[in-house]
Amino acid sequence: MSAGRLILLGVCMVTALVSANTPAAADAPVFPRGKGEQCVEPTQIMRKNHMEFLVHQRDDTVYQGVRTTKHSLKNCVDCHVQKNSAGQFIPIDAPGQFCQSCHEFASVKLDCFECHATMPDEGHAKLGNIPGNMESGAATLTAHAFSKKPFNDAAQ
Amino acid sequence: MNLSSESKQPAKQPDGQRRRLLAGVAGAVSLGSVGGGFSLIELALAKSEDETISSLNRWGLLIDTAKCASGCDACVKGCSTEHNLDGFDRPETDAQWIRKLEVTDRQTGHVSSLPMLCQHCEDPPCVDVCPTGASFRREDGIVLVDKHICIGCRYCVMACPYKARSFVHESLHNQKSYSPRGKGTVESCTLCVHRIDDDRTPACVESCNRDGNGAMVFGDLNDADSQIAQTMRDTPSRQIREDLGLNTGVRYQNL
Ligand code: SF4
Ligand code: SF4
Repeated sequence: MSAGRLILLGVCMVTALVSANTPAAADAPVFPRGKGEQCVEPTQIMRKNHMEFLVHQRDDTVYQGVRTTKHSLKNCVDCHVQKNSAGQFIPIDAPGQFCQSCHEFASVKLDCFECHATMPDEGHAKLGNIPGNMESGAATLTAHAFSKKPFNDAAQ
Repeated sequence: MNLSSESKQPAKQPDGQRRRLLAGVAGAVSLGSVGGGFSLIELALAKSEDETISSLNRWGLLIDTAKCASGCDACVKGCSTEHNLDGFDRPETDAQWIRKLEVTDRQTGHVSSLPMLCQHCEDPPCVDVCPTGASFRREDGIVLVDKHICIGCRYCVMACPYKARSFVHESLHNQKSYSPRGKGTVESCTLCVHRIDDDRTPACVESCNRDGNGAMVFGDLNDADSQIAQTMRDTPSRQIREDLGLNTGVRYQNL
């Protein structure tokens, strides 16, 4: 068998394996819901492209002093942070929490919180979710896991 | 003394110019008769959160060393609380954005007490030496570190003539949401940029006025009507190490 065919065979086998491992509902992450009805962008877009929004906002804020909250990391934390039964905030990068659960599933290291606050400042006691209000990422993750569509298409 | 701020950053922002213009109009109107029960000035001066900064402003501090008392550290405490600069009880390496100094005139023996912090230089040596562009000067004169691209080489720490910068050596927790700080990056006084963007006064100045001796004034050096610009026009003030020609945004009186 020529080298070319070997490679082709290899590629086919890997593809087959990967398809078999497409995330199933069983091992998809389960994470706390955000507050309110709707995220700042449609959920599908956020799941794929939140990092683009964050980087864009970060540069506008650091260099231009723009302080809008729509796409700010602070806004993510304020909306998605949970409280424990004692009413204290749980860091958003703690296991099982909103950011961490998906990042762990996707094996993407979460660097933001080496510098950024993982919970709202004191005096924001109103924020935070009711414990136990969970949702599963299974459906959307399955649909999007291997799609590389650019971000505008993701709306469909 | 040239305080005008020639920006090295691209594109002056029309929004900022509008802000300034509006302020001028509001000022002019308020000299006449303004009825109607709402303040045009407040409307015009509040920076909306989507507004970009402008090189028409240059933020600075004026510190009166005659009022600043030896042993008082209200400004240092204010800064520490605002940015959560809790140390690890290791003074050699703990972060320090503002510190109190006693300076002695060798000829006369006169001792002055003053706070030392990033001087927000117009020509900052820290920016000159930074290999990544992380150390930068905002259009409105505030010198910052973009920690997203700082590699922690600490060239800037060595280059700063005022020893104003600190390196974060250890993993941090409990940062404030408006003041991200983290291991492996360099940091220094931000002039409380999060407050300035919100039309508020830096924490050190607030603390000095509240708990200290009212030795610090914050304001826009480019605004001829501001208290800081007027005081600097009417009374002498100095830059520390003025021989370096850095055109600092922090100035001292009675030194
Ligand atoms: S005082 Fe130091 S850190 Fe601040 S702008 Fe000047 S050189 Fe940079
Ligand atoms: S430590 Fe960071 S900000 Fe300072 S010179 Fe190096 S890269 Fe630039």
